[in-house]
Amino acid sequence: MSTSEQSAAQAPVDDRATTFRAMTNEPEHYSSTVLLVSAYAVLWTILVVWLGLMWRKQTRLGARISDLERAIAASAQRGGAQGDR
Amino acid sequence: MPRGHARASDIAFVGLAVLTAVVFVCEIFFVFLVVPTEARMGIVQKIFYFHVPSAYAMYLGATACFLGSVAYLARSSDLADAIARAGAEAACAFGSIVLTTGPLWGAKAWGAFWTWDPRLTTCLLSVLIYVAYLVLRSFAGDGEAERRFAAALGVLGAANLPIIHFSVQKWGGQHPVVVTGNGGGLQHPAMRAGLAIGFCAFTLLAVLLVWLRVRLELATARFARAEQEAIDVDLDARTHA
Repeated sequence: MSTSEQSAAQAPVDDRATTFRAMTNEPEHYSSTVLLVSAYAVLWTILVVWLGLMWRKQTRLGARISDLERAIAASAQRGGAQGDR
Repeated sequence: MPRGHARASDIAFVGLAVLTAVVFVCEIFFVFLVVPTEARMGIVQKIFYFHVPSAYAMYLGATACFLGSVAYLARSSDLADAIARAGAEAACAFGSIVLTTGPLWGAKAWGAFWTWDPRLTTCLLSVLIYVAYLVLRSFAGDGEAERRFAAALGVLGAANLPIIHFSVQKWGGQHPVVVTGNGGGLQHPAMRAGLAIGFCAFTLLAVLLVWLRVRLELATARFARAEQEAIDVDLDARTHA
């Protein structure tokens, strides 16, 4: 048990419930494995998000191409109908 | 583009994608199964093998943005604009990786996620410049004036790159200088090999993604022009009818 945890355990219940003290000279401890896995997760998430945005842009472009193809087909039909007359 | 060139370009693109995937698998295998764990920091030091190459990939993206911007300012073309935009996106994506993986490593090494260290601050500033570039391109339209303004921003963004690189030497700070021209601080040969493979993997990835983005941007620009021409032709037909 660290010094701060011991002093917290010895403090009266009311005091512990109402007082927050800054930790001094005790670095916070982080799990190396959690940090490493988080870093890898962030790396792949950012790359996948970027690829996803590109995929969305390509899908939109595909939709615009389909619209243009339909417009060209409709225009060609109108032109054919005018030619028949 | 002639059909033969387009096919050769497609084959080269797929080849590059396969090569990138293979090198990435090698990098992951090497870093986790071959490279020894660092004595003082432990396993968290393995973040180094993709944190530093990500920073390098950010520089590559920023350089592409700079070159595309200068080319666009010299002579307007869709290709130059596409390279500048793709480079800015790459700088932003890889810069974000640097700015998130670094603090995760720093939490263990320094006991704090973030300090206003010169290198961290200048790197953050650089990423914010490229975010501003992308926001401008997304919301300000795609006219000639907007493209020129963005190109100027792309040139300005590159001015910060040497400042990031030399900030540790000039102003000190907590950020380590492990990779140097004199051999660096990587003691074990496998550590140096892991970093070298990491540089290869991220260089290939940056080139691949920038190329992919340039192709998409060029296709969008060509289509927008064709769409405009189709509208003009249709309007002409209606006018003459």
